[in-house]
Amino acid sequence: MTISGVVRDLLDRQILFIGGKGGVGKTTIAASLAISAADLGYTCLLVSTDPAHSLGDIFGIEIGDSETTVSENLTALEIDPERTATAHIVTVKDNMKRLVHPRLYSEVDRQLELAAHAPGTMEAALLERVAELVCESGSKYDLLIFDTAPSGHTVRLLSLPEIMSSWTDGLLKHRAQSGRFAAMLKTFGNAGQASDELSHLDSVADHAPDSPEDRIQDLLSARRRKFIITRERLLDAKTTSFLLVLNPDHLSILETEKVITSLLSFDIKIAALVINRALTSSISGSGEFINSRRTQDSEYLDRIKSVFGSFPRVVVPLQPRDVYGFDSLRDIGKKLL
Amino acid sequence: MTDPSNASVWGRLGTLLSEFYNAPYRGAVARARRDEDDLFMLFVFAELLGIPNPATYYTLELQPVLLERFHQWHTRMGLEHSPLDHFRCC
Amino acid sequence: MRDDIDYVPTNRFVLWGHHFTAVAGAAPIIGPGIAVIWGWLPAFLWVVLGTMFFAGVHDFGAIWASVRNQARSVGSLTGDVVSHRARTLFMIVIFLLLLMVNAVFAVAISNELQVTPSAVIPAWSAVFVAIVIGLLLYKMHVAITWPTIAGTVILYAVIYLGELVPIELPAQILGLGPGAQWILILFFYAAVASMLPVWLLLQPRDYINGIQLFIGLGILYGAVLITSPTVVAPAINPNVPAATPPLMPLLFVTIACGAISGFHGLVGSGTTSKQLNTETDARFVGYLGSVGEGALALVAIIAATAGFATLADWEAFYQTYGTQGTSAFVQGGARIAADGLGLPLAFAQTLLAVMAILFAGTTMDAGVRLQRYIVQEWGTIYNIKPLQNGYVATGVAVGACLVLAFGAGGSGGTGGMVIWPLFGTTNQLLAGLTLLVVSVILVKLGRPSRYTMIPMVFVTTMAFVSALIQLRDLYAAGNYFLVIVDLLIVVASIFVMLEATSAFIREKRKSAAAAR
Repeated sequence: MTISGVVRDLLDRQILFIGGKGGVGKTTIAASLAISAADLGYTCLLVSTDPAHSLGDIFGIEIGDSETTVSENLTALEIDPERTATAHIVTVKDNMKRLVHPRLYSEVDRQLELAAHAPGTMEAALLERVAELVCESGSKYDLLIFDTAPSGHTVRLLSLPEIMSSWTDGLLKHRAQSGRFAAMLKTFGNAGQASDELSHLDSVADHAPDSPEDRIQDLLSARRRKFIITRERLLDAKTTSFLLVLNPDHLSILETEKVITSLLSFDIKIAALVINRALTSSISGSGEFINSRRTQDSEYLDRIKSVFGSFPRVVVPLQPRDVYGFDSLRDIGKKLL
Repeated sequence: MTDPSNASVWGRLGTLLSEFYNAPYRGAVARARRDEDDLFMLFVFAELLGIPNPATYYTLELQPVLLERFHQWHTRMGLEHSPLDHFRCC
Repeated sequence: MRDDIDYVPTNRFVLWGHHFTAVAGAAPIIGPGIAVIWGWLPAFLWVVLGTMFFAGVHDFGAIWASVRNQARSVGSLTGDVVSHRARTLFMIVIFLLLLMVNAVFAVAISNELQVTPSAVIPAWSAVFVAIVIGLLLYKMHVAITWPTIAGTVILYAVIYLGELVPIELPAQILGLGPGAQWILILFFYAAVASMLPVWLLLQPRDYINGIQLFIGLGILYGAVLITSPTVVAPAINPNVPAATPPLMPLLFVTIACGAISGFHGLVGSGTTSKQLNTETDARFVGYLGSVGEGALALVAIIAATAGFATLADWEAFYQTYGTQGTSAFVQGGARIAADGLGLPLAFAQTLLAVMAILFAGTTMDAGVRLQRYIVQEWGTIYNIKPLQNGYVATGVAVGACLVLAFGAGGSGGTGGMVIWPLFGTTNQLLAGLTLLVVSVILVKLGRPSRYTMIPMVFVTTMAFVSALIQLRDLYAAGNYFLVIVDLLIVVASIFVMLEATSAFIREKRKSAAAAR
């Protein structure tokens, strides 16, 4: 049941997302693909967005929130959203402190600390990093592989760019409306005194280049651009592909169906399914237990074929031992490609 | 345009007519603009009024830019004193 | 009102001027023109007392309530203060009123254009002059004084030209007579005008209107003071023509604007309140706005009673109820102006006709604009996408007005003036409802409400009785279309009245309990 070539082709995309329920073996598959791609000559960045990172564990190397070389052509990164959030807040704090008396610095610190723990901050920080990587993807690496957190989070992460670009659009619309009013005022309000009082509210042609209105416009536009580019690249099938990993068991199949439907509602299509840890006929052995399990797996594989027939599928057999370390990862890689 | 200090009859007539032509529209538009801006401020500083803001991460970076307008804004919102501990504008 | 330093306060007289010209339509001219059929005294008393105790209170109240609540309209406030159902019905009454305003003014203008063909060119030139002024001031930033003077002079010059070149529409186009043709043209104009940018037509046209209004009032009152014309009409007419409806209550709905008018509340709370600086401006602007209206109505009474040479002339003119509207003003006023200021009679007639037409015209496109807003609002509330579009909404509004104008007056389009008493009735009902809502707000604030409640009771009673009388008369005349419209209005108003009254009682109890 190996469809060779499909997964191999995916390596020519720039970005690969590996998703699936917790515990199905995403990290294994992602790491295998990465090392295999690296062996084939692609420069590869393997990124983990799962808060419970296991990239370092699987390679036996300390990876962190910065790009770490794992082997030739292969670099890895474990995103730490907290660090990102903190850095973001530090920037805001610095900007604020410039406007405030030094004796109040500790107050600014205290107030903004709270923002670090607000719900949504970690997600936003994570999205920030993913967006940066996605936007720059072509330049430094041939291939970017994301080992994502368990499905629900992934779907959310992928839907955020669209939602947030709508949000920034909304804010920009308000600014545009305000700007239109200001332009009208310029023509109405011309009784000398009137225009002075109003001009400090800025906005129209003859103001200093760094007026608050410009800054707001710049910040919002930059955000918007980032979200839009991220979304475009994620939806472009020639740039980005999604692989879902599942195990041949009941819950896994149900979960995968749900994920596919969710992702479809965001226009995200699945490129291939990887059925991991299958007891295939290539695995010898007999006995009631093995036979029962093998029969069950066979049934599930059939079911997967009927439910997910339209998607290319690759089956990776259950290995005799745990998979970690370069060699066993390369083995898996051979099964995939 | 018209210089209010021009005391000639003609000049005063011009100012009066201009006021008659523009003033109510000016007031209405300026007020509409202020409402628009106040709404924006609300989005950015929502937490200070006790409104949870799910986009905190993004509005945070807009806060320093809008700090100058903060005093007028919070007064209009009905908060007599600055709710921002670290920005005692009044 | 929030106190803030962003604005240069606007001069109250400027605000008053704008409010006055916005509400001063043709109604204070038409109403008294019709009402003097009962003699000059009733009309005179109603205008004077109405302005002081009713209109002033109503207009001021509506503006005040609005200013206090982020310049929202009275309809919107009803939703908060009474109930959402009351608000829906209130909006229906408003919509029907606007329908009638537009329809009846279109008919009035159409009639006047036919009777005074010399007014055609000047009236339409005013639109052109306004657009030019708008472009000069807004786009080319020309200083205002010269365009104003030039525009005014041109308008008066064109009036002279109009006499030389009177225009009459062909007797039949596609089966439509000149009356119908004019009505269609007018609504087309109103639709387009309501959609153009403010600075291009609305702003300069209101400006010119205002100037015309003050000059016109100046001419008429000046002439009156100079000649002291004799009032030939009787104080109370003993020979009221046969088919005339009874003085009570019809007087009170025949003259609405100039004594009390719900329409003013719409304009006041919809537009004026957005322009005011503080609540305290509301009294000055609202009250004096009605006083201005009253002044116009008064001069219309004078024109209609003292502008005739003899009693016989006057009686010949007032043969049937309801047809005199603008003509009394134009004919009578022109005679007075001619006598008093030595203006040629034909010129004076054209001048006054143009004035009346322009006032009615600006009310029309303000009315269409307001209607469009309501339609769009319904589109938003009831989620009917097409209605939210400006063009569609305008089309719906104008379409409805046309249905009324032709449905009531027949395809000739000239009989539409029969709507006038119904218009007056709806107007007063709306005024009554507005007063009631304002009263509820007052009670909520723990303030005395009798100054609004007393006029409210009076006006509403008169309006209801009139509505019922008209139901009977319209039914007898076979005008079933208007019968239905009348019924709609009555039913909607009763509902709003009931809900608002119960809200009033509720609030009264609450504040009485709180006081203990």
